[in-house]
Amino acid sequence: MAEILKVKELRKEFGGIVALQGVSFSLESKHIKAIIGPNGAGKTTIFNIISGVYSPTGGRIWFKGERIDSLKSHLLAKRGISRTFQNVQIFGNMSVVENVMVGCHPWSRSEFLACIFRSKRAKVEEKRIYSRAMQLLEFVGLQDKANTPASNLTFHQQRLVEIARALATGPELILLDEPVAGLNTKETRQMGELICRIRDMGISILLVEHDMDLVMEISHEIVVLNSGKVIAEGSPREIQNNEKVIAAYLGEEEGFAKSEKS
Amino acid sequence: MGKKNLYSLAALAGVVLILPPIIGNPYYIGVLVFVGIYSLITIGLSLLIGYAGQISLGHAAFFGLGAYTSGILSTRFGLSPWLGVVAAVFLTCGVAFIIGFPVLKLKGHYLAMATLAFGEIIYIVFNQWAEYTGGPSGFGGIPNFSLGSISLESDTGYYYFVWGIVLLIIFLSLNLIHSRVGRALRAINEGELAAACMGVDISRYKLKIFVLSAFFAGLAGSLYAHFVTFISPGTFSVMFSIVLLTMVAIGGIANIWGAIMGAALLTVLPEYLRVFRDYDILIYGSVLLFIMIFLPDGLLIGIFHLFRRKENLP
Repeated sequence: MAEILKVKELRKEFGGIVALQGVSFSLESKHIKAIIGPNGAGKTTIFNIISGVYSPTGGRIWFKGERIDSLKSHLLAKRGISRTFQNVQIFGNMSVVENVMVGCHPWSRSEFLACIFRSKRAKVEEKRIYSRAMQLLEFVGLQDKANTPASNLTFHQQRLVEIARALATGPELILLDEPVAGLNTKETRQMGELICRIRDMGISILLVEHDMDLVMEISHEIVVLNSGKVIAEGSPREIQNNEKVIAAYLGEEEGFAKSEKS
Repeated sequence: MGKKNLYSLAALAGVVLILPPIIGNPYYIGVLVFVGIYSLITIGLSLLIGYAGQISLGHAAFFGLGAYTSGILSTRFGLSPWLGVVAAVFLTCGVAFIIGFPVLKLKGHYLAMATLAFGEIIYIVFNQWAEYTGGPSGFGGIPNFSLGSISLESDTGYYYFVWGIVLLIIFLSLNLIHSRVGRALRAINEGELAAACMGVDISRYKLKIFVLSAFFAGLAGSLYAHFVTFISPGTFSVMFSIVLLTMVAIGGIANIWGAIMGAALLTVLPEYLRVFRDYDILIYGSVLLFIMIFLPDGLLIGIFHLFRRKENLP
């Protein structure tokens, strides 16, 4: 299996604070990998670096064999890396379908002049953008809400819009930052199914999540982070039985109970 | 562009067409020419502020650059006003590009201050570079436009000319708003982080919309110079930038139609308030206060809502 993403010795310092101290891991193509760890472990920092929001202090990142650790966000989106946000970042004053249409930006071309004069190519492209956006809204189950202002949706629906918008960029790798935080049990289950369907489309997924049941159920591999360092990496079963993880993250008693169960 | 906008455009075109015979008085038609010229600037500002979420307190300077370039070339170098317009627009865009490149890295109040400073610098240049600009007292004798043998000197002729351009600019701006680029600009306004992660090159788009809005202002400046035939720095001071901003705010920031209404109200109102003599400023201020307090979404949406509320009453 080919590696789609490889992170080596990634470091990030904010002033004097070291957020990441040499993090290395890799992601197999078409796999789901979860990054877990206690709050402040540096999970979102990794996402922000991979998606070009921050530049790393040290270390290297390869995506499909090419170095990407100095690229800006919009270029990474064009290369096929997309993401969602921990605190949902939808465009509230735009309609749901428009939100997803913004996601079509990386693969569409019409620039200012073409748009101002509504060239024939721009018109054709606009139709393609619209139908792709509608297709993705159907995929996440929001086709009925296409023309609703995005801010009027429920939190769960807003998360779905974010995922549809991220998919619209045509990604090969998608970073999901706590996709089920704040969702109820039923919504969490649906989201888990959706994530698996995204993987079935052939998209690799990197997932940051606190919901352990979901993580154990859907991910192929797990990386455990604690204070900016990888303390364990392996299959869900290996992680559940790893003593370091149990000590650092799951807490002694709960970890004990879990390892008993499995 | 939706059908609604197309109908609105047709309606506006109809109003533009029939107004002169109804009004008759050439002075008031002249006032409407100014409304058209200012509308060009406010449409550009609405795109920049309302859609892309950037601010400029320097648009009076772009307006002035257009006016002075066109005026100087046609008086001192005997260039045809038509070539003057082209030169004016190119120069304004060029300056906007050079200024916008560093300045648009700033946000919010800092961007406002930087553009304000730019406006002030250009204003000082107009005042001090007397050899060409005529200094504080300005210069006159700027020729009118003419189409072959037809002169656009008459107020009515120029009125149709200017408003034809305004209608065209509205049409093109609406095209832009309802397009891939328009969505990207709104996305930048709502969240730069998310927009960037969706592949929008934020700094390039900001720069381009800034240059486009300067293009509109430069064009307006040129049309102004060839209409009034006399220009002086006072017209292009920072104070006028603030008036332009007020026009956009009064109309409802993210709204092309509102931008035109704002320009119309703030241009026409002072004319009608003259009957109140010394109290005109007082009433002018009160009207602005009233609109800002009771119609915070702008004149257009505000009036729309007022009607809605009445309809909903039992």
